[in-house]
Amino acid sequence: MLFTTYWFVWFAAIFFPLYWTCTHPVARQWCLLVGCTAFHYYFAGPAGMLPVIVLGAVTYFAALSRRRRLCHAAIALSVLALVFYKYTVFLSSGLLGYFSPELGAAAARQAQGWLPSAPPLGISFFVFEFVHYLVEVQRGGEPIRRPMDFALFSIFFPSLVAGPIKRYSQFIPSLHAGLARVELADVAAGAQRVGLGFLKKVVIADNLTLMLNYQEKHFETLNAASTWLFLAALAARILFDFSGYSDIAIGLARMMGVTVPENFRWPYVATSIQDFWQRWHISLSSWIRDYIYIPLGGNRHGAARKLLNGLIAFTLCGIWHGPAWNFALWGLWHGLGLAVQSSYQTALGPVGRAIAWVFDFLPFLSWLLTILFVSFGWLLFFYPADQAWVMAVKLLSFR
Amino acid sequence: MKSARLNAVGLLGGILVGFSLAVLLGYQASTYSKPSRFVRFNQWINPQSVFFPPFRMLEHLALSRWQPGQTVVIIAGNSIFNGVSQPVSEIWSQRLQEILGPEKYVVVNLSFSGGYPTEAGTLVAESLIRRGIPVLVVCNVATGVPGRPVGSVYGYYYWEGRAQSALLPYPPRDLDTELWESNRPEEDRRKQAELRRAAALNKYLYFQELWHHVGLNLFFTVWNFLPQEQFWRPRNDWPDPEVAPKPVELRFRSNLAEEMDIVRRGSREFGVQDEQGRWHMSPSFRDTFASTIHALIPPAVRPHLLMVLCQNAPYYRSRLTPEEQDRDRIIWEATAALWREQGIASFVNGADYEDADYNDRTHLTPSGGRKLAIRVAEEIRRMQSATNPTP
Repeated sequence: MLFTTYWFVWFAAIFFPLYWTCTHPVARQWCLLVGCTAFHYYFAGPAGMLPVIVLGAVTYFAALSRRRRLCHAAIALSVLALVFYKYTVFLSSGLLGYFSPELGAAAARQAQGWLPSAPPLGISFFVFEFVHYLVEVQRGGEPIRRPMDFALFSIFFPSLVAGPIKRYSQFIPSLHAGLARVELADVAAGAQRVGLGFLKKVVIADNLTLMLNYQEKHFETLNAASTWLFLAALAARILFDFSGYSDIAIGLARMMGVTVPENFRWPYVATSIQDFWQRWHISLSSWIRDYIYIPLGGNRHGAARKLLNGLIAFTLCGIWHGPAWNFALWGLWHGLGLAVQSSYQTALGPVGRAIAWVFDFLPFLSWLLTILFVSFGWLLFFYPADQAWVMAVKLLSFR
Repeated sequence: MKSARLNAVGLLGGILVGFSLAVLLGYQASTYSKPSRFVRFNQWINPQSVFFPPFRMLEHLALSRWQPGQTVVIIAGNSIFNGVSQPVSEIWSQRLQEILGPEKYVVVNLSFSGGYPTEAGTLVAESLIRRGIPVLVVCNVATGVPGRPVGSVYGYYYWEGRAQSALLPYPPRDLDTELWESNRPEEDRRKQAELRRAAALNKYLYFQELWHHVGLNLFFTVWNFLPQEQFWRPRNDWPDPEVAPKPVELRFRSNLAEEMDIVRRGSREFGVQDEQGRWHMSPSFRDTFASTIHALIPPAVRPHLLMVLCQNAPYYRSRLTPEEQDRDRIIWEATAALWREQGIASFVNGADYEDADYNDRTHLTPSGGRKLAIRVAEEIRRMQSATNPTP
């Protein structure tokens, strides 16, 4: 969590007063660029800033040319870079190793020789933003002409590490507005949001993390009530951790007069899985919908294809969170959940319609089922599949 | 529009006032906050339970008891001097205070489990030396060179002391720290840099003092496996948990092979045999030792230090071969001599102790603590008369 470092405290103490006192938009945008560069440079890790510079430059010029092939090539390059930096070892040992362990191990060793010890900072986020930008330009959107605007879109520090994933058509006008004038009300609202984010992250999520890390080792010895409390804490922990981080990012941007998209909207009050995904990590789920699910055909080619598209989109969504099988399974879990939710009424006929009626009549029941489904999904998200299975069995045995 | 602006001004003003108030409260806390009924840093008020007493709290613990005309005797070092295995009513540092008397000396135990003689208490002594307060530091060590003031869990004391300009200026130590940092992996370097930044920020904002004061008296905010679901309880609520040692016949039972290996290593790694088969301190170790002391301990502090080399329990030493026992005795005495060569008082303790004086390989029972207190008191009086004939 980069925002909870003392480096960031010093950075913010210097950056924000400078940003606010530079009243001329040009001075302010240079101040922001220097700040974003310093932030990225310090936290970039072993991969450095080169990947974002190269991919950003390619994306910028490809979009500016508005040539279809160049845009496709730039999209391919960004996605390949993401796969290379983040998934090469997983594809070697996890996928290739599944068929041939020796070959997989050899490929993983080779890959580790090529790769930096950690992927470039925020690559999952800026690649998604670049892909979105290139696709939208191809669809007829106006490309970003000023290199400065594009640079700030690429390395805007509040959203660099964990989103929200920005849409350029909303971000650039908001950026210009923030550079032109920062209202006191924005600073106040932003500071309030940052405070809320730190409270969620540091006071709630970090404590839950400490507790869960300890309890996890003794999960087998916990009684039924404690195991269910563990599951509730697990669900609370990821919500407060991630939404706290998003609050900080949104608040920091707001303190500069810039609006970035919301990421969470009370996800645990959702009464269906579809509803949950309209409330959870909204910037990611809408990206997956717009740039994977709909291009795959969405729901336009019959029920079977719709289910398949949903499964593909959610598996990719799972894998995006990390190069491990449990993330893929978590995505698949949600994909299957959505598939069942969207098809049971048709598939089960009158029985399905009766069940739907019960859910409509008793929203508490649909909420309960949804929260249970989501919470069991978190077991897959946090733990290897076999461990998650053991935990789920213990939970359901009520012992 | 106007009311929105007014609200914003109100909110930002509130944040500013609240922040300033917090800094002011932190500053206030730094002048008086300390654990109630403090005897030692027990498990509830040390990093083991994510309580990191700040440098200023340690300073205050020493200063609050001191009266003009007294010498502060700071106990530094690790769990042996912290009094692990001694219930709080029988802790050796209290015995030491009783033996030394309340007139001329005030004993304050600032040792921590796993602490080095270059950390916490010794750094606080530097601060007292700077203020012109008579101070002596008693540390326990084993054979080998002492660890650096940075790098361990207590490394923050060095950065806090340095940021607050409480330490004696000593460029060789700064250089050694820089060299050590530059040879560490990137992750460690960043960790040290974070500690440095935190200390620099805390110098002005006093957030550590405020948080620890709240944690001691009102509520604690970080979950820990020791208190578990009662993690929020203020740390002053928890009594010192140290219990009386087990009966002698139940001690020294576990991990005999591993413990014997540690005992052997205590002398094997530093000794060499001459042609007649006699054991000596290795010349290369002698050089390393001298350069380490030069790099880590300012000359002005050395006359104030007493290093007590705490021997292993006789249960283990008696299981060494006669040759190993000979080597053990020579190397431990030679290490004490090395400390003395560097201008630091030192003696080997425990060579004549019995099994009943130990609860395990290293930790002393109340009876062992009483013997230690008597021996240390003698040495303190001797040091006191040497450094300051009229305390």
